[in-house]
Amino acid sequence: MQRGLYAYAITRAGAPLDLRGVAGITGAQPRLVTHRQLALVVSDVELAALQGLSDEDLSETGRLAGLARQHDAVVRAIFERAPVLPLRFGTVVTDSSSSVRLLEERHDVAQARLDEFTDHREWGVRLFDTSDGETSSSGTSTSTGARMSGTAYLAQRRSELAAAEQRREFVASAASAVRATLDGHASNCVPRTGRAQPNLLLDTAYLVPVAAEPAFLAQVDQLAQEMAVDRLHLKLTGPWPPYSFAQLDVEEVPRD
Amino acid sequence: MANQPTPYRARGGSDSLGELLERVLDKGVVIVGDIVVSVLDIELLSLKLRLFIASAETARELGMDWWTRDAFFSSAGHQLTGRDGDHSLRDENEELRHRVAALEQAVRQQALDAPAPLVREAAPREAARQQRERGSRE
Repeated sequence: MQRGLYAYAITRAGAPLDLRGVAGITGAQPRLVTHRQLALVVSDVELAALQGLSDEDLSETGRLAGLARQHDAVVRAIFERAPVLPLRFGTVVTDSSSSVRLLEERHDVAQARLDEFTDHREWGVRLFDTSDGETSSSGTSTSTGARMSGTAYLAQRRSELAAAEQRREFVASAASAVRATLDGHASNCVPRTGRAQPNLLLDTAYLVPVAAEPAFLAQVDQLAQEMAVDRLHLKLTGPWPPYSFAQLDVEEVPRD
Repeated sequence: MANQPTPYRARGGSDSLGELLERVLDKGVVIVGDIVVSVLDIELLSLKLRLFIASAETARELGMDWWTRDAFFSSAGHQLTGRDGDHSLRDENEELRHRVAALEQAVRQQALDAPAPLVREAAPREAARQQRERGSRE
């Protein structure tokens, strides 16, 4: 049976990190491989446990869901105790010496990231338009009973289009208002990509200092109430470990 | 709206699987090179995730999102609030159930109170029809 080390995240080596009682991938006990100021959190894994996942469906009870939750549980356990730089799900290194090499090659940039993440948590903010295009449909429902003249139809169509255009402009300005208001409370923010939904106006991850959280959350509450009046739904998720900010420029820009 | 919902309050680990998968599959530091063992096709998995979310959204738009409110399928089921609010749907169901019960009661009452007119009304018409048929045959 082929084995490897499943790697969850990079953290600091300095502070003692007690992960007893935390179950990792396939129930294995996570441990630390330390090198200079960094530690890689790993656990033993049989490669077969991760193989063939691509054929799985993404259901709540599927294998992938279970493994993703185990991965998240370890990252969160570190997150509750120390700054954490999460790795992509499914990262497996061969052994302890390759763990050390991983940390050595990324030492300075990982350190800088951990500094940024110290006393910070990620919050997700999404803004949805929940009006369902009712501005344009309200016109048709009133006049479907009677047969309409061509001119009347065109006039109605024009007013529908004007209303839809007005709504588009309104939601765009609402989205930029949310952005402008919340950006001030966060240390960093990234637009999240991947969801292409017609009614999704804004999808942003915010890295918020713990000290600024009450103000940030109060602001979100207030915005959500204001937006609800205009049939806009502001959805908050979190707190998350800084998943959306976990990038190392080493990998982003290929070195020559 | 009577009960103003605050559904964005998904705080405290009730985030859905989709939200979690979006983060662990799509985000996080990617390690490349010979120190990593390639065991799964993460690109394919995140592509599948996107398709899954897109189809789930489509289903939601078509109203086929019952599982998101079902505690068996979704840990956040009982907390999830739909577009119009879970409560309004439940209230509407309750109201409809009451109305059906009231209508059944009324029908039963009517049948008990006046069984004769229903029969009497039908009988002459039936007799007339039979007479007409007999007449046309002769």
